[in-house]
Formats: sequence, structure tokens, C-alpha cells
Amino acid sequence: MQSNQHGSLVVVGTGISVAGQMTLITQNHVRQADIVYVAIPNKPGEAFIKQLNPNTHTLTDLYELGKSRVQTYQDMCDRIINSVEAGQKVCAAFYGHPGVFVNPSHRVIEVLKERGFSVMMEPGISAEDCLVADLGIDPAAFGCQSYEATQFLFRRYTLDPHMTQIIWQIWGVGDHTLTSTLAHEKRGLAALVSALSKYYPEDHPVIVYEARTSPLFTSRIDEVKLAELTSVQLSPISTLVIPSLGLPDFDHETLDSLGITAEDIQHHLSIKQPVN
Amino acid sequence: MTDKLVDFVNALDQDPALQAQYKEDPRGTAESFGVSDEDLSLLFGGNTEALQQRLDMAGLSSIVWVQHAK
Repeated sequence: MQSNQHGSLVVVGTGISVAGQMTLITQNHVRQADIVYVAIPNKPGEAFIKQLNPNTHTLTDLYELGKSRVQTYQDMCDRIINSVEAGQKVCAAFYGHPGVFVNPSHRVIEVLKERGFSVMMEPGISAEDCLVADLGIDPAAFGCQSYEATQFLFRRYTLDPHMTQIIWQIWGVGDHTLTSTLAHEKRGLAALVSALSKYYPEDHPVIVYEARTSPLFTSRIDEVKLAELTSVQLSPISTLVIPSLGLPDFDHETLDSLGITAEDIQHHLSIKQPVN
Repeated sequence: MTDKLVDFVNALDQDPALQAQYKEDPRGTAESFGVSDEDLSLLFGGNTEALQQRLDMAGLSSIVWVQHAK
């Protein structure tokens, strides 16, 4: 995009782990910036970025216990916007993928684009990417639906149990205050289990997943029955994965219109590729 | 002064060979890297509370990252 202002912003993601998941282009954006803002949850990752660019400043000081995240995100945006408007080439680095479950990254891009600045986002490795790798789940195998837990609970979503379900942030599910102060309560989790029980038997296996954030440890992969979920110890990074009930039936009306049959499809699916 | 535990975590996060070595022999790998006896005891001693405190002090703990529901 052609910009008409001097300052610029690139938003990058640092991955879920400490520093090993930063892409080469991300590292180069950090090196080439006038100033770097980082909002990542570990000091070694921050130290790694500081080695790439000494003019690195944290945004995590804006987090305060009990402070609404809406305000925290606004404060982060203000800090980044001020630097861009001062004419600086700014790089903002967020944890994971900068566009996934990150509010201020989208907001600053939107505001600065409206004001005529050059802005862009580079993709990063998200928790979902780690989940796919750790659990060996291909989102394309059954299709996949992905929700934030509280939003799923509060809204009238339609869940398709034939698809793999990924439900994020189950630890604080039902906490409408945006402060996580109600996260210790289990009422929301019980309501979530109740909502899911409309689609699955109580003994349907579900997985509590936590991507490893440090190479010292392994990712958490705990399989339990749906009905047991309320008694499981959760953490702020717990994600619920619900395996599919299996593929749905064929849509014979559509197949007929295309002149093919279910058997034709099964035949092609059964052709094995040789392994060299 | 650098924190050898932090250096070890950073190296481990970026080096597949070191990861393979750590998987095979966690304590020996950390020891060879130069992680202190005190930190080795915390990492492998089973006192999760003390380990958590150490990781917090080293900035290796996680912040809660959540996007609000709409």
C-alpha cells in the first residue's frame, strides 16, 4: 500500500515458545526497525529480541491485576501509534501469531491505515499450529470449528459434531468481566459441558491441551471424558479439543447433480500411494 | 551477569541436536551446559513450587493472554 506519511508499522509474531519459533523475516523486521515494542510473556524471548535490536521496549508493563484488558489494549495501541506518528519505523512483536487472539495488533493496523501510514502484519506460529503438530490433527480431515469459550457459551452458535472442535480459553469460561477474576469459578465450565452434552455422549473423549511455552517441558495432552471435564485442573492456557464423531453422510443430491456416486469417491480414496 | 538457566532455555529452544540430547538425558544435558547445581536441583528435584518461583524470577513464566468474548 502506498503511504503518505513517514512513520510505518510492521506487526510480527514471536511464536509460542521462547525464541525458536521466530521466522527469519520476523527477525529481520526487528533488526531493521527504529524502535521495537514487545508484548511477549517470557524474558529470554524479550532478551533475544533486544540482541537483534537494542531499542526494544516492553508493553507488558501495561498489564495490571484487576485492570480491564480493554484498557490495557488501548494503552498498548496508544504507545505504538504515538511512535509511528512521530515518524518512526516501528516493529510490534506479539506472542504467537500476532493476528490470532491478539486484540491490539488488529486495532493499531486499522487506526494507522486509516491515517495513511504504511502498515503490515507478518504471520507467526500460533497455539493452533502447535496443537496441530502435537496432537497430529489435520483440521482438513473432518473440518474444524474454533471458538473462544466464553463467546461460544454466551452466543447461539451451532456446533457440528462431525467436525473437530477447538475451544480456547476454557479456564475463564463464563467470565464476562474481562479481568479473569471469576476464572476460579467452575459454573461457566459446568455450563459449557452442559451445552456440549447436547451434541456428544457424556463419555465422549475430549482433550485438554496446553502448548509448551518452554523447551524444558512437554505440551500437556490430557484425554478425559466430557462429563469429567469439570473436575480437571485447568490453567489460563488450557484449550479444549473435541474429536469428531466421524464424517457426515454423503449428500446424494449433490453427488447426483455431478453424476458421481459415493462408491466412486470411496474408490478414489482407497487408492494407496506407494511409499518410497 | 548472564543467567545460565535462561541461556540454556534459549539455546534449547533453537537447537534440535540439544533438544534430542535433553530428551535422552535431561539432567546431564543441563549440567554439561553449565546450569548451576542449585538450578539442577530445582529442575529435577520435584519441588514444583520452588521451580515455579525460580522460573518466575527468570522471567520464564507465562502471562495470561486472553481476548475478550464479544
